Amino acid sequence: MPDIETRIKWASLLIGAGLLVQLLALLRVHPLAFVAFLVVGCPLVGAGIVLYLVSLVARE
Amino acid sequence: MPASLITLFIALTAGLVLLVGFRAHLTRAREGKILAFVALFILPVISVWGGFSEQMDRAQSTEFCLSCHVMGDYGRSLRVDDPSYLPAAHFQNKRVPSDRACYTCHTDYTMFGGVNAKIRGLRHLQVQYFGTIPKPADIKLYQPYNNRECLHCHLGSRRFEEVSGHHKTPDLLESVTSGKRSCISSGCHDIVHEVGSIADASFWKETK
Repeated sequence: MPDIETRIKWASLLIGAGLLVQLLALLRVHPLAFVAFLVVGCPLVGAGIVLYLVSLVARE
Repeated sequence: MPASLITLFIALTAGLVLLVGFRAHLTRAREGKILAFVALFILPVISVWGGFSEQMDRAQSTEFCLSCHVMGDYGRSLRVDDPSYLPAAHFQNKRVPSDRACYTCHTDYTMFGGVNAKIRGLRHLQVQYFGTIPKPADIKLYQPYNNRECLHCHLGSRRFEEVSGHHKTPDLLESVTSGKRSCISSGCHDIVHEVGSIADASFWKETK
């Protein structure tokens, strides 16, 4: 598997995990849900997006 | 945007993201590259923005503030059957929105008031789970209640400007609007949550 595809796979896993946390955080109206969204969900999605963008500009 | 729509959008995005991840070879074709860009960049950014907006909206709700056990008595004080209780008079007469009752009075009406409220909330969470939870009656404001939060709604209203109590002395209204005299701690509107004596109070039963 080319490097770019490996990075895309990892990026999608990170983004998918972050979105899953965001979905779970929307199930309850509670401060812990807010913190989970902000401290876990957002960084995971952010890291995945950054990894994807890096894969676009990185050399094979 | 309704929460259900945001939830659906995030779920669909997650599905598409995982599809691209597990079928990474699709990105070899031009169409696949466009799909990956949409699925791994545009849709997640929109999802985070929508989720953040929804979470911030929820964080302003009365339900959110009262979800910690220690705030229960403060929530009950909104329903005390006594109009001299300031929060009860505001809540029961819809002077504050029922679903934003806490936030309406307890956010600083400044540029970063909402952000500051959230930062204080994180500290509350730390105390709730890792610290010693105080008794409800021992909870104090970080700083004296600022008239600005009252005047945000009341300033300029006819009742506020003309009520006789605000003209007991010639300079009373001016001293209130300038913040020299506190609305709630100068002996005028000083019955607030009073959670220490809430066990003896009677409560208003809202008719649906």
